[in-house]
Amino acid sequence: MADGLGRLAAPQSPNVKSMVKKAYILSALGLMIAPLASLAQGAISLNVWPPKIELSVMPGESCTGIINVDNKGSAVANIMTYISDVGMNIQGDVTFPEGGSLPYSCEPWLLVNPEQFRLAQGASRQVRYTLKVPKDAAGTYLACVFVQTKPEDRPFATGSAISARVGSLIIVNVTGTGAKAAELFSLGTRQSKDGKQAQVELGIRNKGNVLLRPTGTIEIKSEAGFTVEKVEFNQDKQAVLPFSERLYPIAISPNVEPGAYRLIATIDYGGRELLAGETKIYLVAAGPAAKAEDKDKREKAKAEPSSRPAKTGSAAAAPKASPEEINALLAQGTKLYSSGEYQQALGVWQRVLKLDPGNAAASRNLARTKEKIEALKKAKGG
Amino acid sequence: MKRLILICAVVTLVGGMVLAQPADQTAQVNVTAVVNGLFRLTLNTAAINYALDPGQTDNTQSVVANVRTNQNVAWFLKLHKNHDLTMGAETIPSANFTYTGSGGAGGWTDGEFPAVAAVGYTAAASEYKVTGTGLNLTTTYSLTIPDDQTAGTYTNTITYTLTVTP
Repeated sequence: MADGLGRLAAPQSPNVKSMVKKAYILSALGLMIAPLASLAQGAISLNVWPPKIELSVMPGESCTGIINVDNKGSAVANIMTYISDVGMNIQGDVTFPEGGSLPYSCEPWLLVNPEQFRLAQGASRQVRYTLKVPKDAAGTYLACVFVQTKPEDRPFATGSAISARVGSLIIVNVTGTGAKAAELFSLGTRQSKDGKQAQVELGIRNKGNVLLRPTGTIEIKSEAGFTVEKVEFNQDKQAVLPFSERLYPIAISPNVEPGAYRLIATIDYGGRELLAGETKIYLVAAGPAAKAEDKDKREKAKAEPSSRPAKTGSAAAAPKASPEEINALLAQGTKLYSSGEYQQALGVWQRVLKLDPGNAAASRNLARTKEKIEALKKAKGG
Repeated sequence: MKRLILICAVVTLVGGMVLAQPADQTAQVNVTAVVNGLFRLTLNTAAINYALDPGQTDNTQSVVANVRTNQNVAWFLKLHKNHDLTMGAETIPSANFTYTGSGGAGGWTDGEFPAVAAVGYTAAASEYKVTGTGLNLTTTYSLTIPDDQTAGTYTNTITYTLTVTP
């Protein structure tokens, strides 16, 4: 028997009818449950490779490269790619300010493609970056290409949608334009964050326009001159960004007995000379661990001839303005710099430094702005 | 005599065959194995949902971030919110929605969800390379609904960021 559509309609027994009905119900339930199941299972999983790209590019030249993105999650992912600046505070915490807001940002020279795409479960996609270095660029520049999942699953009640993003750091060294310069600005002791252990704190100021990865040794000597501890400094080569300062904490073994010691630092930052600093420290017992005593017992540091004198504690003088005022000026300077008003930006940085002589961001920006003005003068033949 | 000649001929033939064997030959096969790069962030859920009464606190929800990498490099996990839990102009105070981190040998920074990406977890040197099943880092959320909170659905987005240090 044929129905109106030319298909044969088979006679159905009550058993078959019941089975078909059950199948319909199960399918409908499946359709209703599937999104919930994926939400519960819901793994978002992004693999981004490489996580760091170091490039050496001549001024005025371009280059392109690939970042691989894999969706290892349990569902299709909507992906967006974008570029941020890379900053670092004095403690070494990396920040990602808006692109182009930092003087050593290469965000304005970078393009990524595609900026949005859909990636099936288990699928991979290449994201291409293109970099064009200006002719007047000098030193090291940084940016981060982020690959981020767009949150598709909105919470169905009060709550949060979850998004994953993975960064690929881009470090551009403009060939033949780097200038390495650094100094030791702080050498002393302090408590670890958990308060359980004393640690050496060593501050390095990068005065050059390239990224530095200082290494070296820290020696703790008894007053009689015996070495009681020798620690390799920064073995994993953590960087200090151009025109920036960074404090490196170095753990002291709890086996070092309380008492007075000489702390000697010898640092190789890759420049012409080694940095060296020496200071006296006094460790006192604090329960099971040694504790650094910070105040009167610490003496002023004595520096080797090859380095600038190291100071204990913070080198910065107290600011003459509130942090809000300083921040507002810094924001104003950054805005002026970003819009190419370099002379006015220079004035703002100088004003900040008058109010807050130890302000690292202002010193860094001042140096970078001066460089920019010089480069422009040269370009104009002046 | 014939027999001797025959033996000589056989010996010459066999010797010739042996000498005619080609000398040992060597050939090279270059084997290249590419180990794919791994820098992976996996989150076990795409959303966190609450149904709470005013005055009630929930500390049971969590997000497990799994990190895997076969490059021996310092990395960290940051997290941030796009805004507070809001419903139109209504907001649940930031201090009422916090997280506590656990897992790993590195250091956690707990507290309110920051508005810009701030360090949640910094990997210990022993975790710079984490292969196999990876490293599970759990962020347990805590939400307290104020007594006078207007009824409704309050939402935001929490972003987990995985990057290496410069």
